[in-house]
Amino acid sequence: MYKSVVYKEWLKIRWAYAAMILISVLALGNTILNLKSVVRFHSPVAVWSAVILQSYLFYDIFRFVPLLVALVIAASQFVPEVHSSRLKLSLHLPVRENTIVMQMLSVGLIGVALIYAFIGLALSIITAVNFPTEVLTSMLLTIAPWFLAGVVGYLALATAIVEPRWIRRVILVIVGYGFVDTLLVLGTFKMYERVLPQLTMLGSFFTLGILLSAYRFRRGVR
Amino acid sequence: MMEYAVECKNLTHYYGTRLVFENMNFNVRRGSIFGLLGKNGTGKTTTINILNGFLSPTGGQCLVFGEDSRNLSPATKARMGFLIEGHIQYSFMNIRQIEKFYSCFFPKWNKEPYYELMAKLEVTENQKLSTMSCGQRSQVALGLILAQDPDLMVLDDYSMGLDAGYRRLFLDYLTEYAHGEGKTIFITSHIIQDLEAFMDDCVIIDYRSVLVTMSLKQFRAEFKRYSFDVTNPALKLVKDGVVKNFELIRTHASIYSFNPLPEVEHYLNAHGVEFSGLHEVPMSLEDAFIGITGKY
Repeated sequence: MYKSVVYKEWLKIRWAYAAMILISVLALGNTILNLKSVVRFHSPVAVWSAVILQSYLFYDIFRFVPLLVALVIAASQFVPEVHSSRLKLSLHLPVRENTIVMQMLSVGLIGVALIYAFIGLALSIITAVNFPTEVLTSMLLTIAPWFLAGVVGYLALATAIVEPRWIRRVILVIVGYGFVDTLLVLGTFKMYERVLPQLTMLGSFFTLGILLSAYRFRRGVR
Repeated sequence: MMEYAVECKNLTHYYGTRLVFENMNFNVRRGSIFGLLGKNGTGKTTTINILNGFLSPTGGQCLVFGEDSRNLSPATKARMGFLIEGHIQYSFMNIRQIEKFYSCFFPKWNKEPYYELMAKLEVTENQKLSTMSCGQRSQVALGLILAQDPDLMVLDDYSMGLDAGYRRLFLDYLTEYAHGEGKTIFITSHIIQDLEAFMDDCVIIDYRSVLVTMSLKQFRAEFKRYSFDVTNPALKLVKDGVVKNFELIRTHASIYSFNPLPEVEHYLNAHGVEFSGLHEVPMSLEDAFIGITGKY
């Protein structure tokens, strides 16, 4: 049955997914070109010291790409479900309601995670080729909250779409925005290094949110 | 084996402070075709949503195969085919994809009736549902329900947006399915006359109340329209035990009643009505439906 859910979700998101891969590739290309041009116009030593002294984020564009990827995939997955109350079809399938919702969610999250893994791997290669290992570690710890922001953005938007009441939708968007905005604050390198596990735990509570919203939808809350 | 596929007991529902219906009771016999009839806004879709577990009633309960509709188990859901009002399906899928998707969920899945129905449509297997006409989408939705082979089919306004040909095709397949295999069908429709030769039992609901719960045969045999001429064009008769509805256009009056003609004649005399030419007027099911619910 999970295979069928994957099949349905894939049919919904495939074009959006392809577009998000393309955007990720373009952003990676932009990062490489930027890095090359900066090295060309400044001395390599100056660029090195800027990166090592942690004042230049050559991958800054990836602050928003993971969030964009997550939001687009969440919307392409769940908007068709709530349009004309189509979610009733999924919830009427002979599977426990929470199970079917979690399965749908897992397809989206795995899709998002695969793109994040691709971005992370590509950025790691770019960094490892041009800079010492310390910079690679620093880069990974810096982008981790951005990826977390994407996951939380995905869960918050999916929950807001499924939620039947507008007032709750607005509250969910505000809470989700606050959480995501905090994670995307551009401060220093490795800004959330010490609290990343706690933030991840906190973000995972949004999973309960979508289960609750789906339950409310099922019970006919309007 | 339980006698009823669906049992609604003292069903009451409010949207906010607005009462939709109160203490609605009816049972759907196994193997029967049951029609839920009512004008727009009387609570037909609300009842269907309660029956499918998509709405918690304010009061009372609805049992489907003995299970409370608020907590239907996956096994019971597998026995229920559900047509959502407007023939809603996954419009981003094509004919082949949607069959493939559903086939994994239902143990008794049989794709033959689905593809048999699809062969009657001017569509290709790769055509998306979103590019189909309303009539074509209705047949896709019906074909999927038939392939599921459920014991109970719940069809919310199957006739919405369908021309006479598609409505006939829909009902022909349903008739074949229901009578051939002893299935239970719970159906609502705005096109009452289509259901005349189709339904076994019916419940007719009006705003906030149930007007009739009986077999169609009994309803057709007992519910009568009597016409007569009156001398008083301002005559008013209040609905009561005898008069279920009263219409007056100038001096031509009609009474709708479950009572036989002599009792109605006696009633008119007892109420001092001056009348002449009292006679029974034959009615179609639609006439009877309008007679009992009123024209507006």
